[in-house]
Amino acid sequence: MKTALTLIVLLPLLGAVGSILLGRLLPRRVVEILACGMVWGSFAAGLCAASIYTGPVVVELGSWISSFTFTAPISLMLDPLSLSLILMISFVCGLIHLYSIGYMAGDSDYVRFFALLNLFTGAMLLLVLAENLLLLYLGWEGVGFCSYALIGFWYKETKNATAGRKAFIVTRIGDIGLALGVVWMFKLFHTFSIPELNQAGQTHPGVGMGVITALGLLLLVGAMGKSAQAPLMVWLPDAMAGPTPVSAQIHAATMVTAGVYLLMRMFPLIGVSTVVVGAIAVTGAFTAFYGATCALAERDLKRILAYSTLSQIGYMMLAVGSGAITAATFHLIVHAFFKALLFLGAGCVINALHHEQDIFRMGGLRRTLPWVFWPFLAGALCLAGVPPTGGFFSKESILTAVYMQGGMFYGALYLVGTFTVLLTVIYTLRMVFLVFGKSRSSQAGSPAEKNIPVQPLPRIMEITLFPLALLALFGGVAGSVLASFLAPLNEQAAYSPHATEGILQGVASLVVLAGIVIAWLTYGHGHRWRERRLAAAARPPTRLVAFLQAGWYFDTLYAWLFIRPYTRLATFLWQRVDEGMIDDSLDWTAAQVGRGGQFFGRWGKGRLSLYMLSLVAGATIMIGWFAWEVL
Amino acid sequence: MIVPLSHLLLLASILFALGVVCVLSWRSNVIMVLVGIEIMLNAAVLVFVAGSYQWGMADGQVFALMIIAMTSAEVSLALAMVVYLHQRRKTVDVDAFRELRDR
Repeated sequence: MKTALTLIVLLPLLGAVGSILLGRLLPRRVVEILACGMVWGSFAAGLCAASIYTGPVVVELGSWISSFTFTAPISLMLDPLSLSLILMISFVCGLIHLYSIGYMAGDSDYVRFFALLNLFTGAMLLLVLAENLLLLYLGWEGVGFCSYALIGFWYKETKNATAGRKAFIVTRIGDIGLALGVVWMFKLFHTFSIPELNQAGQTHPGVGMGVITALGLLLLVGAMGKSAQAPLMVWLPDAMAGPTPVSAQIHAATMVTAGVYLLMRMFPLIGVSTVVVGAIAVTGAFTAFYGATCALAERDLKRILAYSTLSQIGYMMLAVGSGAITAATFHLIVHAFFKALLFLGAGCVINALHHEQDIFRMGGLRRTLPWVFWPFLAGALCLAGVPPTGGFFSKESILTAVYMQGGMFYGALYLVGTFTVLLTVIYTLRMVFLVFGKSRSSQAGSPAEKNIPVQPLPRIMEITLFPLALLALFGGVAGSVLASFLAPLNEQAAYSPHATEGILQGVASLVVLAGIVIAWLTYGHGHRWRERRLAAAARPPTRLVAFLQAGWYFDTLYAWLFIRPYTRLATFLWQRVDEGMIDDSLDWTAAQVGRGGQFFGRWGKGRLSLYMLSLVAGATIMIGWFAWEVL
Repeated sequence: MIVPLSHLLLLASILFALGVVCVLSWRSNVIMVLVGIEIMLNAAVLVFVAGSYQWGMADGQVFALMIIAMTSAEVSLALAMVVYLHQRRKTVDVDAFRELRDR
């Protein structure tokens, strides 16, 4: 078990180090095989660990930090939650690595790419397996760094580098919350160990409900930053600047699920506070709704997917906020499959269309890219939650959990969640219809109209889509297995009788059906409404659409609230204080000294008479002084 | 002693002061600067001689002779330089010679 767990974390990290050190010396094919092999090796080690898994186990690999009472060993913990997550992460990342071989075929910077991708995977696996919060924080920061470096992978364009910086800075705001929480917890409980913290809880002397609430809110802030929840969600849509496999990895497996994982991990500790739980649920529901509305109006294929990720992560937070850890994990895993699938499919589409990302300029790809269309459709149906795909069951289990909490508060959240399901169906199918549906001659400038042939794709990019499509479609079956497997985590979720569950499933199915009908009427091909939509898309957007396309103007709001005052302050400090006061006063002093030197320098201009006068004056003064002293 | 020492010292001081004023004020002519220097030296010689007489020791007189000898050498050298300078610049103004300045 110890070997298996070590290998899980160590292999991707080794791959990263190997690529960095030796990547330039090795032929390209070897680097690719090395990177993929390490991640698949990690997956194999995960399978081994799963096969010999009997119960939660903690493995200590060595001491990391140890000074007086401040100890943080390198210890890994395997329990149902981390086991299911590492299998998912290493599998999805493995497929993404394979896909990257095809995607990065034309890029000369493949060594850096694969090294960072490996490091990304390794950091996330470390985060998930970490037994203490300090090790988790190490993985957390590693993930943050890799996302920064990969989002800005094509750093020569300012836009990409800015997107990377934005992701880093916004998540950093959340990280402050997490760091404060971790340190405070150590101060209170004198331990970093997650199981010990979860056991200690409120019974620990000197820890009241208020403290737990504060800790929970700090962790929530950390999760908001990492998982791109409102109000720290602005970085995720911009993170689309990175290569598509990176987007897939960030959205599916590694980055954004970390926040949800943290909350799930610490739930026994923070879940006792109703304020925290309510805050998590509200955050999730709001973000789910926000992401869905923005995706409705967005035109960029990748940004639609980014907003859908916001929305789906919101569902996971909602599930955590309802105490349904199983549902959250289930949705997390299913989401990883279909979101990776959608991103990889989108990468295929974008590559095939010569880097066209506007869905209103696509169309007709069902005929030209059938091998992408069918998996993509599977992923889209799963995202939309059409029964009986995995997405339907996972989302449904979340909504059931929310409903079963009862009361006005959760009732309202349930309504928001259900309405968001409707929106999800509409925007997902809108995307599918526009991208793959029959193209229209009215779409000026579309590749189909200009008769540019689609670029042939490397076969490996299409092959990787199929396992994901199968998992997304049939992930629902895994739900019941997962539920019994994760049962120990799920103490707080309300028990739901089968009849209620049936009714709720029926409601959800009806909502989905309504969404399909609306989407078909609006964007389905051959319908006159579609023509009208396409014509409207060519005109400047209406105010509502512009509002949604700008992401509710959150960026503008933040620019106005934070960035502008900050820039003003920085400019003031720079121009007035630094240059105006400090520099100028020093410059003035130097100038005065220089001028004094110039003044005295006039003595040495070579006028002999002046020299003589000076000599006499000096001698007179000296003699006078001697005389004064003596007499 | 017919003349008291204080009178001699006073005379020497006046002579010295005259020499200084001559050196400082008569810049338009190097020769006059040399004359000023001679006057100052002679004031010094006078003080030596007076001192020698006052205390009855020959050292001061020896010094006086030394100074006279040195002065004659100095003047001959200095005048030769003045002639040379005048040949180069056609002037004997002190401030005309500025080649010794630092830049």
